[in-house]
Amino acid sequence: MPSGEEVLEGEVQRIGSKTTEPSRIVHRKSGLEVIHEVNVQSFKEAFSEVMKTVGNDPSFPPDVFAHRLVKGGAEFPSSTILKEDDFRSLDKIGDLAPIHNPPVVELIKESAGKYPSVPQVIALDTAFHSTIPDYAYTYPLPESIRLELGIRKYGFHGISHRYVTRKTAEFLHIPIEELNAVSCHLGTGGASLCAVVNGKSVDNSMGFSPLQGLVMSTRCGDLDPAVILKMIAYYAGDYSKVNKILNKRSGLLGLSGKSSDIRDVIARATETNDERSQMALDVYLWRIRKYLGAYLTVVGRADAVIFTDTIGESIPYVREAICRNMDFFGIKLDEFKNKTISGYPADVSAGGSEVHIVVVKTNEELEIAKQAFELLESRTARSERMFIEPYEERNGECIDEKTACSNS
Amino acid sequence: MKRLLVLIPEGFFVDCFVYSLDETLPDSLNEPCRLERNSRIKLRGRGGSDEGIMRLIDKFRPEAVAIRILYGGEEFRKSEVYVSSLLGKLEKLIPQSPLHIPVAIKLIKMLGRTVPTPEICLYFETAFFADLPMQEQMYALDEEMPGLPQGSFGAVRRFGYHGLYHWAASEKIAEHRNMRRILSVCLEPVPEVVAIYDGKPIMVTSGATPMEGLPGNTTCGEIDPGIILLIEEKKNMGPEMINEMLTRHGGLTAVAGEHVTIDEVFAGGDKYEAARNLFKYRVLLSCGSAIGLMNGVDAIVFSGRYINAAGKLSQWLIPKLVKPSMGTIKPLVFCMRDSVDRIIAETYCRSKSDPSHICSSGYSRVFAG
Repeated sequence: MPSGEEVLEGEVQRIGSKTTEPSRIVHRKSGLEVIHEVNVQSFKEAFSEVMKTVGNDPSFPPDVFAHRLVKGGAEFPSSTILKEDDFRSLDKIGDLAPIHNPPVVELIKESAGKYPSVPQVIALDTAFHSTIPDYAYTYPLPESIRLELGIRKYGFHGISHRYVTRKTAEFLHIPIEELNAVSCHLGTGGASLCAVVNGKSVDNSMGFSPLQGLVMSTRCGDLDPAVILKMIAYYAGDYSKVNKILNKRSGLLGLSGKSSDIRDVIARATETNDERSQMALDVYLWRIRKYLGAYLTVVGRADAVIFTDTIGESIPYVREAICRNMDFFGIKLDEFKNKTISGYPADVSAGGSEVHIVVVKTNEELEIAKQAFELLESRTARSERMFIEPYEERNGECIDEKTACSNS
Repeated sequence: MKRLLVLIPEGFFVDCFVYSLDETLPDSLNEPCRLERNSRIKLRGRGGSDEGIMRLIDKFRPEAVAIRILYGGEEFRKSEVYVSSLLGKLEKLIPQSPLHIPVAIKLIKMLGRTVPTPEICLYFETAFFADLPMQEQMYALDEEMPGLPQGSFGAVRRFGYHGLYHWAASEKIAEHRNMRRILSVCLEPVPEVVAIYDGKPIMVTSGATPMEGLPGNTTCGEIDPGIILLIEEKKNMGPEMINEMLTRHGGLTAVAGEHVTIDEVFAGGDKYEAARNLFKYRVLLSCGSAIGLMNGVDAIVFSGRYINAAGKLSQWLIPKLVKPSMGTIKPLVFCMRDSVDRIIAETYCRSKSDPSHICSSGYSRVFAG
């Protein structure tokens, strides 16, 4: 990939879900940050608002739109450039990740509609976790149903875990193939921990879907299966109602009853002594500490605990609470360093800590851009190959996109 | 000779154990009771519990009957000597534990009709967990949401279901000094790992029901909630059918492809390698969580009917739990071979000489002192 330089960036925050603050677009260019308060209830509306802000920028239209897809299932098993037929398949993948996939599909359709000549790429979030061993990805359910429904742990946030793991190895001057770490991707929406051995993912707290694992903004995380069966019985088998409760009405929102954003929950708990918020915060942190202990044990000799994404990067309180009383694992956090980070990556471990505590600003966009660039390059290479080697193509040496990638 | 009849309802049967009690207590604390008779009686139908248990009572004339009850909710925070006022409390728990409480009530009523009526003692597996820390108890759900199953005092919560084993483990370890952080691994058909800090459980792998947590002989343990929704939608299976699959056709049996138990998985060769590896890994994760929450471990206790599997399991597990920060001090490892009926019988005996010796929500006799 060329320089990978960022020409402009931004994000739309607080779309849809109830929080204590309005939606807003954060737009950054040349070190300048502009925030617009907007009212956006859907991702389609968010895309329109963003286009109003950046549509006239010289960088538009781009060479490619690249979208993160958390789970593609059988329809989209790997990162790919979407072909015309693929657009019909997009409607089938919503249920695979009910919170994430529908907005992505909405955005793909919206951007393809507005810019029909620009290629659309999807980058899979599960690819980094393809190295999880069978004893960790297998659910103890009858084999027939596992195979029929493709039930196994896939893991998520792979793009981010991969990026921050590599960045940490670089920062600590440890070859990536020797790095053992636990990566904590703590976002405002989803969150997951990843156990990394020799630079490869060996476990992820999310599972078949992004619902398993930690307490998230509106997702319940781990839950007794019997509780779900009771709910299904109560709602007379209405799958969508139970799905909505567990994905959109639980987590921090369900616990606190007020906000799905951990920053609000911390503020209410610490500033106004709101008991329910305090409990939500305690449950949120406790669950992370349970997974951290589990993954540090799996990893063995850990070089680093990595914190990333909005909460992991910017909330010292959360990092401090997670690392407290973890010296059995050789983890000691320096409170001052933790509160005074001036640049990323930053090591906030105390002197004498056997494990580095590294705060890394994730850059999923750059990782996705790299994947999109590679796919476009391989397509170009394939076209050139088809042009100069039609004989081999007809003989089946280059039969699909995946083969084309590996050939090039 | 004084005798105690211990009743352990298990599915469609009641396991009955007659213990003779040593009347020289408290001088012979090591062997306060001796097993005389062990029989299994069907709960329903011809030759069912009434008849079989009455025969045992007629023959052995026990001074007391101890009943193990799997679930006691938040009301029953310690073992209890039954008095009639407890019946209403038990009946209130039926919606939360429809399979277990009615059986216990049936046994109590039946025993109440015998003359003379023996003392009836109730031992609740959940009592030890009544005061789990709130952050461990709670699921990330909105307790006001319609459709959520309710606990005794509100929202559904996490319990443990082998409280008697874990309580006995913490009692045994309490005899040693400086053993504040105990990892208790119970190898029963539905296994369970518990972190016990200062005599109190602070983490348990089971959940609102024993279905959550580690995979068992036939129980799936923890799975992604999304899987249940997927099965319901794609296979058009109702909750009863899914429950049947998760509790009777899941776990190590599902991975091995044939009915197996935990000890068979460890005794077997390559055939069970996949099931063995999965089980070991899940135990490792749970132990890691427990150690993380306790910031270390001083003692590890294995218990349960598959204690023979503890040898191979601990050989693999313990080196992974030892960290450089421990220096030369390694955790003590114990295997507790007592069955749950013996734990109940011994507890009963000792409570006669020391009323504080009862299984309760986390405070053991020694730590309370």
